[in-house]
Amino acid sequence: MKTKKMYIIDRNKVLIIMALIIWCFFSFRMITAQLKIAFKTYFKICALTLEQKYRLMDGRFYDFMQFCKEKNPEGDSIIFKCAPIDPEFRTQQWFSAEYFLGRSPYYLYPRKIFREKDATPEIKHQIVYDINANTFGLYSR
Amino acid sequence: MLFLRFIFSIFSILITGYIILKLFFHPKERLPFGEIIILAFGIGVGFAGLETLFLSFTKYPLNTGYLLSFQFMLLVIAIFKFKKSFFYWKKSYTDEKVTYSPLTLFFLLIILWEIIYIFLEAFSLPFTAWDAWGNWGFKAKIIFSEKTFPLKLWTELPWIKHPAHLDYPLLIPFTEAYIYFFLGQVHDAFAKLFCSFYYLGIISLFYYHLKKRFNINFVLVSCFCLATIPNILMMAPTGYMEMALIFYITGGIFYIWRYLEEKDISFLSLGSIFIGLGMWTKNEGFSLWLTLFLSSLLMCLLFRLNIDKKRLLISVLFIPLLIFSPWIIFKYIFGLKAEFFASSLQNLVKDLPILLRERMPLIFNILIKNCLDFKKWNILWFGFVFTLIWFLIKPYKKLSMFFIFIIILQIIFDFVIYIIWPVNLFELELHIFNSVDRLLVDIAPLALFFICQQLGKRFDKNYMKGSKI
Repeated sequence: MKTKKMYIIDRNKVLIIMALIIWCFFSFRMITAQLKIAFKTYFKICALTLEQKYRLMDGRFYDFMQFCKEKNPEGDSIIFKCAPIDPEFRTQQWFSAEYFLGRSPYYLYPRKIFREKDATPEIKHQIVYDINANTFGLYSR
Repeated sequence: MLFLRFIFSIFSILITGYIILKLFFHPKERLPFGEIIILAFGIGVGFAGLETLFLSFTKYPLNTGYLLSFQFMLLVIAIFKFKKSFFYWKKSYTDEKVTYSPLTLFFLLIILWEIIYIFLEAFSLPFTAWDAWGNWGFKAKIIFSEKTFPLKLWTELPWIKHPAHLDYPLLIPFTEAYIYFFLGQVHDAFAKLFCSFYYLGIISLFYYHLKKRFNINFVLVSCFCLATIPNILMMAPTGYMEMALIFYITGGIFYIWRYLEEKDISFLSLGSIFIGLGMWTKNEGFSLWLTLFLSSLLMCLLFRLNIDKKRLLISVLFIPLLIFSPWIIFKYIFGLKAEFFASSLQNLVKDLPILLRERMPLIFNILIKNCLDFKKWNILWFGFVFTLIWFLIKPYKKLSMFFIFIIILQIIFDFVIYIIWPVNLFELELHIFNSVDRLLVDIAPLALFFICQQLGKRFDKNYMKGSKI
């Protein structure tokens, strides 16, 4: 009876050690990648200003948003479009267009950004953004 | 200067949480000070967020002084009530000698590194993930800019609905706005830094709940596993609210579990409050609350728990619902519904058999592929299935069934949502790809906790002492 109990305990221990070895194998690959990116990039960029961080992320699109901010008064209603219009669903262009359409209200608030389908006739201004321009920053997701 | 302001905002949250705990939370046992701090953070964030929300309905514009005035009143009441003992918390004592193995210290170092890395990555960039800026960050920016809760935006303007889901609960946007009021500006990186505290919180709660029962080396190794789940690491620094949701829901479930084990009612109340705050965090909190209630019901029906079962069920059902009820009322008054479900639920019953036949294989396929992706989960789900089979053959602690009920019911709930989701198969596939990680990550710490409960027999303090369990 005692022998059987010992056998179960050992089996438990062996299982844990095996699982841990496999876990560590996958984790350490990830941790080395983290160390690399942390020392190569994050330690350098964490001291940047917020504006510099925005520019790192969104590249020229951020500058374009700043330009639109200057040209349009607060509270203004604007239609935001991406060119080319209606890219094919789930293509890179479609994802880019969705990103810019979604991101623009965040940057331009308190200006109200409408998509074309939601626009009302009173809206006088529109912004068109060319998604073919290489505008993503280094860290865009 | 900004950093000092940020620290001040976190400090105000901790003090508020501490006061609330001191006033209302009186467990029979002595909790470690670290656990009190983590609880103070959770409760303090809940209070700060909801305080900002409710004060925004008054006619005064929100600002730091206005927000702090209520917390100052709480502080005065607490100091008046507790006097010299205000900063005194009974120390937890232990008669056991703790010995760390060198290997465990190595794992501890890795945990510390992961925490540093998450904070570093969070602070390095502004919001990069869609929901982080489109949903939570955008709403926080609006609240900060308007110095109030702009009801009109939530009800009239079509432009806001594209990046932001208006039917999502508002605890986190208001908490981020609370931080912005202290900073005096919108600052994505600090909002992300704040969200990273949840990662620390989850690991701490996991640690303290395992430490109650298991040997310290086993506990630290388990925490290492939790801290290095790739998907958790991926989401923790992005400003996604999965970490906040996991913190509240997992924390709540842990404390309810502790009530089942130790029969201390204060843990039941605390757990239920955490669940309520989890419901305020994301819509998924609602499904997790339902799952928890059903699991508690099953536990009451199937096990002899030696507790007041009615009290358990009433607390789990009504305390979270009471905390969440203002948002339900708000949604009802302003007619906010999940956009996807608003129109087509009526056709559902008619189409259900077709949907089931068409979608089940797709959902299964994606779910299993995702779970077996070692780059996302390491061997977590593989280990979970293995442990589940082992548990069903030879359970070490039958009460662990509580976690299995929650995990399985939650997965079933996710399946149901995907099956009735009113989009075509093509869009559904895209939607599942985008969301399945986040749905699984909600239950991942519970799965790991269950694994630890079953595998940890050899490291159980009671077992090591030779007592009968």
